[in-house]
Amino acid sequence: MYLRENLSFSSTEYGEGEWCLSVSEVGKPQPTDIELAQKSAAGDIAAFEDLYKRHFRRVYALCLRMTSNPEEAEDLTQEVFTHLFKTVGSFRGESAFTTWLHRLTVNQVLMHFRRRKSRPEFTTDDGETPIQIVKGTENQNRMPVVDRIILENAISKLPPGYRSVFVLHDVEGHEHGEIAEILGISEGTSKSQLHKARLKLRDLIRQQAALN
Amino acid sequence: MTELECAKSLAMLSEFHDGALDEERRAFVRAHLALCPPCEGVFKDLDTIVAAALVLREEREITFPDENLLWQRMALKSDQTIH
Repeated sequence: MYLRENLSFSSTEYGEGEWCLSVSEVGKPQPTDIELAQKSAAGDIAAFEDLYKRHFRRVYALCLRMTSNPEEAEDLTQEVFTHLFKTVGSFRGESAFTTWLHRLTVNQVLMHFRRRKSRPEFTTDDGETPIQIVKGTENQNRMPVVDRIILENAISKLPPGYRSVFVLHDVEGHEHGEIAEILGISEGTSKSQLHKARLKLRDLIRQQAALN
Repeated sequence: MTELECAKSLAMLSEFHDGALDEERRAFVRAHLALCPPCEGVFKDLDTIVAAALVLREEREITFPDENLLWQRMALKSDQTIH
C-alpha cells in the first residue's frame, strides 16, 4: 500500500496538482510516475489510483478546454484513464509521463470529435472551415471586449483541428514543437492551424457581437 | 497598399505577434501595419484574442468533478477492466 492515506491533493491550480505532505510524510520517498506506471501495468490497482489522483485534474482541465463542455470532459476523463489502464504498460519513460499522458488525452479528445462529427460545417480539404478575412475597417462589426465566456463560446465552435492547436498553444502554453509531437503534425502545420484558428475566432466573436 | 501586400502581411500576423519572424519579414509587417489601418485592425483583434486566452489560462476557474466519485464511476463502468 502506498502513502495514499496520508496524502492530500492540492487544488491550487488546474493541471498542476501538487502533493501536499503531512508532517509525518516529510522525507519519505514518493513513488515516481514511472514507478506507479510500472506497478499499474502489473495490475496494481492502488498504484493506478495514485496515478489517477495525481493527474486527474490535468486531464480533466485539458478535456474541458478542448470540449468546453463539463459533461463531455468528465466522460472523456473517464475514457482517458480507462484507456490509460489498458495501455500504461507501453509507457517506456522515453518522455515525461505528463507529456505522454497529455498526448494520450489529446488523442482521445480528437477521436471523440471524429466520432461525434456533429458540426455540419463546410470544410476545406484538410477538414477545416475556410477563413475569410474581413479587415477591421471593412466590417461594421466591432471586436467586443473578449471575456472568458465569449472566448470559451467561440472556442467551442472552432473545427477540432483549429481548436486543438489553439487550446494547446494559446491557452495551455505549449510550444509548436510540443504541439507537433502531441498531435503528430509538423511544426509548420501547427503554426498555420494556430493562425487560422485565431482568425476564425475573430470571425466568430465579431459575428456573435453583431447578433447581440 | 496593394492587396498583395495586405495578403502577405495578414498571412504573417500570428507569427509577427508571437515574435517568430526573422528581421526582414518583421520589418515588412511592421511597416505595412503602420500604413494600413485595416490590417492593423486585424492585428489588434488577434492581440485581443491571444490576451483573452492568456487570461483564460491564468484564471483557472475550473470546477472539478469529485475525483473519488469519478474514480468509482470509472471503476464500476470498467468493472472487468480496472477492478
